[in-house]
Amino acid sequence: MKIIDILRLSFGNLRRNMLRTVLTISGVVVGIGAIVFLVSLGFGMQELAVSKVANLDALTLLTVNTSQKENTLLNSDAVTKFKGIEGVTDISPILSYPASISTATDSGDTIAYGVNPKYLNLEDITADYGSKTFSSDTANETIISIASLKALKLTDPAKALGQELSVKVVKIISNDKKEESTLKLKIIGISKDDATKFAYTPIKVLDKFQGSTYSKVKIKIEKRESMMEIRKAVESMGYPTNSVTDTVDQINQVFTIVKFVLGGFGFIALMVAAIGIFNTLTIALLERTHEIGVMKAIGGRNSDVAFVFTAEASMIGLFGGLIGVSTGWLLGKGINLMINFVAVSLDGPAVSLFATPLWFAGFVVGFAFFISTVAGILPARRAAKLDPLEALRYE
Amino acid sequence: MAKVPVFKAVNVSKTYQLGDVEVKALQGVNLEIYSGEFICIFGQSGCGKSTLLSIIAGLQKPSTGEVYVRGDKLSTLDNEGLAKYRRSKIGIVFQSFNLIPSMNIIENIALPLTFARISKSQRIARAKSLLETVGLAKYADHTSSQLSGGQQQRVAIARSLVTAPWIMLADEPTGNLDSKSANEVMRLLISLNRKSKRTVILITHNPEYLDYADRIFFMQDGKVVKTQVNSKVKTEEDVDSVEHISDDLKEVAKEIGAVKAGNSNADDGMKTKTGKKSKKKTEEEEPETEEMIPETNTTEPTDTETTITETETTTVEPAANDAEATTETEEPKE
Repeated sequence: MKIIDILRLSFGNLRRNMLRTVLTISGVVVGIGAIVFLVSLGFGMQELAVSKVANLDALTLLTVNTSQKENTLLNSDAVTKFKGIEGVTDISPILSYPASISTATDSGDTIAYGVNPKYLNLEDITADYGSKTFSSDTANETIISIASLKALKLTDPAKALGQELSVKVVKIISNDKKEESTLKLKIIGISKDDATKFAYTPIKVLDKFQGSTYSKVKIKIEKRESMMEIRKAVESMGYPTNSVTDTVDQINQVFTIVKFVLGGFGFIALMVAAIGIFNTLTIALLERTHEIGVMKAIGGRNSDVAFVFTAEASMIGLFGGLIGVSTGWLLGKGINLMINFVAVSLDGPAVSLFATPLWFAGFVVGFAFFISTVAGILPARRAAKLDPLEALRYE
Repeated sequence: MAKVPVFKAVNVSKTYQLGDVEVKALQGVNLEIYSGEFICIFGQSGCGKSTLLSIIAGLQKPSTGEVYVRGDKLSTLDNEGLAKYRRSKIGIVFQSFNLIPSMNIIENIALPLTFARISKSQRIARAKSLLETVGLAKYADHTSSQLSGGQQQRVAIARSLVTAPWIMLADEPTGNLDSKSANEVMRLLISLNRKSKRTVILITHNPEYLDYADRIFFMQDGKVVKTQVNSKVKTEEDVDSVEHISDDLKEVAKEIGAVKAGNSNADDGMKTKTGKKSKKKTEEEEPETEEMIPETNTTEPTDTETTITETETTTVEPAANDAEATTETEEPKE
């Protein structure tokens, strides 16, 4: 028989007993729907967790730290070396010095960071009040945390913004030798972080000393995939590195397990559905025994009979898979909408708790097809092996 | 010339084990059947005639002995080979019609061609022409349950002819039919033998049909107890022109009519075409028979088996009509 004829015949057989077919397919829909729904929850929570830890930019960011070893100072020479590595798009060195800050009346201390204004967004800070960016590379401006402003009694952002601070930075050269420099910086942005003391400023403004060494160098890489390679290259030069991807990898590992556990529950439902398919085909085999006898008597091959049965199982799996994926996906979408509706009405951020990647949907349909086909093999083989004469006599 | 028999059974026995009881369905059957013969296998229920037919049809294997088809041992064929043999070399008609209820009439007739991997358009065309031949063209889209027994059996005959086999095996084809339908079916079988030179093997326990056979094998207790050559019935040598065939069949039809006059009360109410005809309309059925023959003529082989190929190649589709051609079509895919 041609494949198209096998499919026609199988489809006709499925249509003949519509109720039973629908019920069997429903079993697969429940199983596949459960898998898609639960694993989508896993995917959604994973994305949520990862996005809390790092924005997408951070995943292509490698941080190089200072080292205790000889000849591994993080200075302009090192930056030049890093620039030479293939796949590196940009480099942002960071200076940091302890600093004392003061207004006309009060004084306190903080840590002054100098960054390339272009890469301010790569730092883990946000200006909750005022400007989020510096106006230029050389602007005498600072974005400062509430924690630093406490000592200056400037915790009211409205009052603090626009204030000019006198910032005295200190570079310690040795135990009894240090250099000092005083800057006048205008507060243009304030972070509501009240635990960490920091004051960010453009690196060119802070770079007041000879032969400065950076506290960190951030390397922006072109592709996420080349992270490992570049990391190795940098570490082979003797610099320790770290990256958000470390944390993200750990999160992903945890969620891989979570997804397997969730998918496992759905898999149990799918197994029940597979037994349903097996049962349906076994009954169909009994019902159609005479018909199989007729088919064999008028020249049907054993393989034709087997293929028709297998195709019926496969079709049940395919239809169940497609409908199940749609159901699981829609269910997740619906809950997403509901959560977001509540979240938005409570002024919270919109979140997606369920996420169904396309490849996963495709994979699950394929999986349903495969499992169903396997469930159909045994009844199909039994049908193929029926003795034609005995089958003909069977009523 | 030395004729190779179409079928040759040598010492064929078949023993069933029913619990502790050993049933000897066939005991050393020897027979030879030649091309173009109309054979009746006659006997009471349980004499083994159906067992013999199913062995000839390759539906079961003999316990001992050997069946030769055109000189080739049937036992050498595997399941696949047997399926091909049943599909392309023989046509089987059963007492219980055995149409598949979920398919319409056309699909039922075309099913053997479906197994032979013939394209849908070709097999539907072939099935339609055969449905016309058996006079049921307008029932193409009906299902078997919508047809009367006689109509179903005619459909079954059309199905058995769809691959243009050279042998027809009929196992009590009229057993479930009223006499009128039975006569129609018999007429079809006879015309297939007389006109198309097909070998027909008819299993029956109805002695009325014996007159139409060239030879009769009488069976009893699993043995062929008597072989009778029927001199009254014309043999293939006599049938050499279309006119002769018509005359011959008129005669046959008349004889059938006589049989029918005896018990025609059992008309099937479901039949729309012939069911309402009463006894006095019996004469009208004769032209119908004649009409059917020329129709058959266009699609069915008329002379030898070589002609089967030629005629059918030109009239309908090339691949589907001839048993050999069918074999060729499916070869590359297997």
